[in-house]
Amino acid sequence: MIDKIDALKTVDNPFVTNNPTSWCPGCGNFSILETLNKTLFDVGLKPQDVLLVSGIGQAAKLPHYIHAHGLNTLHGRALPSALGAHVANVDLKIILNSGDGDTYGEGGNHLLHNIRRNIDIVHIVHNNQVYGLTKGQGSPTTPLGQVTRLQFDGMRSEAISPLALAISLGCGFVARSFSGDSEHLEEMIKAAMNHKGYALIDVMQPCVSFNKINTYKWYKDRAFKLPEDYDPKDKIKAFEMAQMFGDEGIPMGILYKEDKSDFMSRIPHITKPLVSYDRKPDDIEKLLDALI
Amino acid sequence: MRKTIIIAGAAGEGINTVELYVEKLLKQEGYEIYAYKNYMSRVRGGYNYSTITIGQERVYSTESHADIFIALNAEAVENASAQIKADGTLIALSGLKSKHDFEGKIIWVDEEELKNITKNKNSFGMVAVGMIIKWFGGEESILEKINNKKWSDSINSANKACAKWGYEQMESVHMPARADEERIILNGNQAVALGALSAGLGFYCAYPMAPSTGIMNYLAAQEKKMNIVVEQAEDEIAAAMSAIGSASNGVRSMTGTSGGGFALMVESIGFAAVSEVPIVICNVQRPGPATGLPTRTEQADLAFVVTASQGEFARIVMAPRTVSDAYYSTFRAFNLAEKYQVPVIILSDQLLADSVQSIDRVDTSSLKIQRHLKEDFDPKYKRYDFENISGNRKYPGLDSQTLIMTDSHVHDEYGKVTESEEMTIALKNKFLNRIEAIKKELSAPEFYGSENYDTLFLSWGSTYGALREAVDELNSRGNEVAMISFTDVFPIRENVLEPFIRPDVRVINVEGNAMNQFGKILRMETGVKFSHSINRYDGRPFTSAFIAEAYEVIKND
Repeated sequence: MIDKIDALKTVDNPFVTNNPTSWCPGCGNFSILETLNKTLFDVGLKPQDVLLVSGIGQAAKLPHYIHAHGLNTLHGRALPSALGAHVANVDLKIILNSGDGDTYGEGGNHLLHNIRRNIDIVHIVHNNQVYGLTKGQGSPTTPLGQVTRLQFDGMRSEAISPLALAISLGCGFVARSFSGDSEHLEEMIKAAMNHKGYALIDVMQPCVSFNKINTYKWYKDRAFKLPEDYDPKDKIKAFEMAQMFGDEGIPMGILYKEDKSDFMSRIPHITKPLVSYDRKPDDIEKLLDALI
Repeated sequence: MRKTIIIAGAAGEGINTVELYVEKLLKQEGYEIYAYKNYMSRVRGGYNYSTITIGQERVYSTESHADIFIALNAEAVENASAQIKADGTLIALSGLKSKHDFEGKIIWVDEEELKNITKNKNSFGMVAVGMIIKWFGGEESILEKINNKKWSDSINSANKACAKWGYEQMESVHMPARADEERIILNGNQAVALGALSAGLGFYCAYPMAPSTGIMNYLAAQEKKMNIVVEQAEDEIAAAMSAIGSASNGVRSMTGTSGGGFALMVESIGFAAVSEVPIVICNVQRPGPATGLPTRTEQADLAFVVTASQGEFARIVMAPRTVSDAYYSTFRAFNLAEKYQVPVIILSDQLLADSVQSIDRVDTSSLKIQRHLKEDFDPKYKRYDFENISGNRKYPGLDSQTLIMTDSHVHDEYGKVTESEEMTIALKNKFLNRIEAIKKELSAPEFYGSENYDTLFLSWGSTYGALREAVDELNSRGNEVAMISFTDVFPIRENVLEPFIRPDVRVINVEGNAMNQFGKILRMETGVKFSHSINRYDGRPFTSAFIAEAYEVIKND
């Protein structure tokens, strides 16, 4: 019975498209797409309320597979595009999907500074610890020494710890989830959508074609949910949890949460969506008076 | 008649303050002003100067030699003889007497007497303001306007006392003012900013870089008055992409930079073009490559900006020729960007950005914001309709139903990624048709000079002013020369030079670069060759004397 209701919901879900995807069969991206579709519908949004922003990569194809507004930009550049979109129209709910290379590599500088800005977006990182679209090179989250299709003798750089990075930058919502646990992922996305400010969810997402080490099983065997008494406001503890990744276990959940003013609330003279201001050439007359 | 004043000294010694008061007070008296800053890339020290040319008639360019040279320090006194006209006057503090080798008229301002009025640092500059006002024959009462809200009352009253004391010591040349219309005074960066605001700018995102930073500074100061958002980006890539993100959601958006920052925006320009997002980018040129000369001028980015970004697509490049043109062209840039949904590049330069000109108050009533939107819902709407060269634009939220996909790939008419040959060709053909439509719409060059010309100068952008004055000078010497100058420099119509070129005319290309970039674009697009060129690439602006002298060399060759 429950199955039937869920099926009905899916049929009626206006976010769902029949567009064919170009992801490999078994890709971890599918469950992120399905979960996002379901969550957007569950929280009562309409496709017209949502802008899906992305850069380039396998994860970045996602806006083409959801029925909503889309802004599919350049590799690494989803965040600055999202900043502009958000400034233009605060009424749009912005969901950004990007891969680990797109976010932590090419777009690293933008990540730092948009977390500082605290723009009000949900940022879902499809982190498969490898480059998929370019076929198997190491990414910023591939561990030191791990062999890839390019790094034959193993990675020569250490992996970054994206969640520790986000916490250190003052990100107000830092979470980890797993594409193999859509119930948990849905919970995280909903919590992120309720957070006012930058909400980062790093999602462990197996690449079935190019990462033979960090597989479904590898993640499943290591992932654990944060205990119920975990306090996400404890920054020191969160920093410790954020750096735990690998055989010692991988914590899932909201690692850190802090409520703070978001970017647009720091620009109080803008009181409605910027796009809705009426502007005329003679608006500058008073500025011209000052030049006499 | 016109007179040139140079105020020279180190950064931090008050050159800008003296310049500001001289410009403002004399402009309000009805004089025409053209001022240019010659400064080094440093915050304190160095040798900097401002050149203010004050005319009864409109002034179009700067001059290299002064009628009055105000030396604020010892180095300026030492340099004076190279920068003063033979009949000019050097004004400096008496303590610097030992430094000069200038043989003309000198007024030494008594340092000990000045100390009796005030011991404030930089007070000599205010004495000079009073002297200059008197020299032009202004009433002493106008010195009462010397007041800066940022300064304390005691400093303001000391400044006035200094200016009045200076006023008493000076003789007058009596050059009465002529202009009577309402005039405003501003520089090229402010004009670009005002043009953008008139056009309905909502979002400006940039990374600081000389000599473009003045645009951002001016806009940031107007943020609350104009209900706009000005954001300092983490880098120029972010600046351009944020502006595109905002523009793709319906807000008129802009970024500004110089050549080095523009180099980082290159990928964004191609993205704006293929995703058909209207974006305006101002590149205030400085000499390159790489760090180059940060605070100097050159017109050497043209060949770069007309081809910047991979692939083939439509773009528009405009190079304003004067401060007034910077305002109107920037306004027009936004309408064109939105009509054709293309990137429009405003190619300014340090000369234009940092030259202060008195101009007619801009006429906002003559301007109309044209957004070319399709506001009503249409179930058959295609965001990227291949048949639509212009207009028909929607963005998220413009109507309550249409969903918009803004995409960076080769895409179909709805923005869906495709690799089909047919779509690839259709998309490219749309861009080609768009380029042809733009060519028809862009403005023709402006002609100036003798109708019976045997020599025609070609020019673009800020070179206009010095060349125009050179044409006047050469024709007054009995030559028959004329010029055409372009604001709309790209794309170029094949027949654009036809009205001007005759077989017996010598064509001389005049550009602030070494490689004749625009001359070569004109040759490529129109087949017209220039036989000679006049180039300046020492980082300094053209003067009319420089061009006239170079012309005489060509003529006598």
